[in-house]
Amino acid sequence: MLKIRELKARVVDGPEILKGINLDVNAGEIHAVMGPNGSGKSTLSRVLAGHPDYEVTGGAVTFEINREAQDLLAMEAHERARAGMFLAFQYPVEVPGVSNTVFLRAAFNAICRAQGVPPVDAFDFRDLLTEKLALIGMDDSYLERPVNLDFSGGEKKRNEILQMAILAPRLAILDETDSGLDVDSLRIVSEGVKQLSTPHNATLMITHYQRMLQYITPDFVHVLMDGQIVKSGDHTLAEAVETRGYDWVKDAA
Amino acid sequence: MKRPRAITPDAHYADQLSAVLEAMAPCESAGQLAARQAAFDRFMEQGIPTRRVEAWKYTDVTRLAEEVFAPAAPAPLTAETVTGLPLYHPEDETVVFASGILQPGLSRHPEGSVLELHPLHTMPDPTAPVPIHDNPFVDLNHALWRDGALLRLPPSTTPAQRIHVLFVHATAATPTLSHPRLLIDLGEHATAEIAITHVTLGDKACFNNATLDITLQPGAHLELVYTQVLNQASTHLGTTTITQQRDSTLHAMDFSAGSALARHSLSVALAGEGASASLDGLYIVQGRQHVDAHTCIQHQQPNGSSRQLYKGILDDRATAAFSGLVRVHPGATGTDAQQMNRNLLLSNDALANSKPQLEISNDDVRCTHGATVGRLDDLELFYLASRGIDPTAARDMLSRGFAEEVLYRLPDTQRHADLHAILNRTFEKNDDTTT
Ligand SMILES: Nc1ncnc2c1ncn2[C@@H]1O[C@H](COP(=O)(O)OP(=O)(O)OP(=O)(O)O)[C@@H](O)[C@H]1O
Ligand SMILES: [Mg+2]
Repeated sequence: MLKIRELKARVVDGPEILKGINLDVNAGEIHAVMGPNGSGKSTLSRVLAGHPDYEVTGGAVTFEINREAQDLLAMEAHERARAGMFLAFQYPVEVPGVSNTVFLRAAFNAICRAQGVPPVDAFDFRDLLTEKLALIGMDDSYLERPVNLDFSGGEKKRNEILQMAILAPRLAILDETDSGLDVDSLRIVSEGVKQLSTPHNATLMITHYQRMLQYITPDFVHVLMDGQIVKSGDHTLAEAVETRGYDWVKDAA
Repeated sequence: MKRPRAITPDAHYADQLSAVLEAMAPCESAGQLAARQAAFDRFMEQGIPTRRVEAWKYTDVTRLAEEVFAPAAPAPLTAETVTGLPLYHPEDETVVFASGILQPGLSRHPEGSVLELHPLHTMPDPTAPVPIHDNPFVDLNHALWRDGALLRLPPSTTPAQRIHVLFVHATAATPTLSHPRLLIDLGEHATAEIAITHVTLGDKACFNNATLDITLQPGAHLELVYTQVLNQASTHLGTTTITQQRDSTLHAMDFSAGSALARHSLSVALAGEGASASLDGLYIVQGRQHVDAHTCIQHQQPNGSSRQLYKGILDDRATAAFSGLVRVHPGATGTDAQQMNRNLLLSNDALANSKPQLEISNDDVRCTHGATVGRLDDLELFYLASRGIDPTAARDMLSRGFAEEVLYRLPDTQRHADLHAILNRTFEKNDDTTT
């Protein structure tokens, strides 16, 4: 579904942050990406989502759309989302004055329309919202509030997963969704993410901890250091990283 | 040679005065006619201000000195036309003016309503309390008004319905000039929700020079919604003067989305102790529109409070000016005054000027003021894009969000929906982002 080859990227006019990333993600797979602070994990997620601050300086990324590999890097951010890509932000953005419902419905309908599905009316959408709110354990008082405004850290993370549940992406990139969640929230969110995972979609989870991986067993774990994937393995790699630290990975690589 | 501070108005204004004096002679007293003449003399004496006059620094009205206008004659207006107007609501108590002339047949005055409506011609001397001002257009209005009304609420009353005063300005091939005049008096402890709306019929130019004088007696409460949505060829000059007595409260929404040139001067005098005024303003301009929001709050007595939040959205080559003066008089101790102006520029060619001003003559006050001019936030735009929302829809959604900070303060969901509907028409239509 996603093929990343020798991807290099930097902040516009800044030093290189991604220094040649290679990664294949297929439908039905769950990948975890770990790595020290500042190693480039969020940068990778933002470059894939089409953040305008970053400049790709080398390599290629293809994303399969209707069984055809398309050049992801040539697409605008909103086109990538419409093609089924979703990024749960490490730091979700507050949008004053725009209610969650308005925002979600606009996003949902934009994506539906792009994918040739008829948009839903306000009532049907409400039903969909009610169902997904229950999945994430949020109550509907959040719906009329402005997007993320004055949400607690954990509420913001849940709200990202609510959006993911509504938009049903084919490729979800979760950037440290587990950080800032209390134990109960972590369980609910993890189980929600697990339920959303199907043989037709894929998940790329960026994380520092084992915690979320205990609920969702990844098929692959990758360690990103200084802009490159230095080691890949199965779920046991995550355990090894957590107990032995990144120096061990560096030495073992 | 220095530009003059004022320009002598074209002779057609004098012709209009003669016509008005002749027409009014049968129904007005000698005193009333003399007051018109006196107001006209003051207008001619002051002339049309140029931008050298501080209060008109950002708004050039000099073409009004030369341009020839025909006095507006009310075009035949049908009930269907009125009920079809965007802000019309059948359940409101509605007072309709066509080009400044009261239309009792098109108005709706429910049986048993507590609202008293007095045509101004029947008032002993409606021009008697000349407010202190330096605005020649007020004098022009007082000289040339054709019709007007005093709306009065007796003490301790609350109308069952909202009151909507609808000024409909029909346009014609020759630009027309009208001088709507309205007085509102809320008796002691009366409470009301009053909307004042200026709309045009047709797409030709008209110039309306409106005055609105409001008095809130002790303990009265007014929710005021002032909406200007004239067509893009027209000029709106509005002068609103509000006097608040002890413990009265005002919340006003000052909304401007139409006109080629619009200026609303809103002055509030907190003339009694403990009075409070809360003003929310929203102006939206695009193309080559110009809007000027001019406010003046006078804290004259102790323990008054005022807050103002004026927001503007500017696109294309539009320009806007906000000038707000808060004046705290020496005796007005315990004053709390806040003033904020925020502008959102959607284009590189739009220009927003902001001049918040405080004049404080005692120490026992809390005053804050500020102004910002900014653009859409890149991170917010990316967040929306990452959810599939295209740049145009994202821009509209964030602009509406910007406006919502003032619109959400409307106490009434119907008015809120009305103003949102205007916003939706102003921004590009996009089914996804409207609810
Ligand atoms: N927009 C930016 N402007 C300047 N520097 C940036 C920007 N984005 C990333 N960087 C730099 O690039 C490096 C990688 O940052 P990134 O956010 O990708 O790290 P990360 O692996 O997600 O770290 P963490 O685990 O702390 O979230 C850091 O040194 C960071 O300061
Ligand atoms: Mg990060």
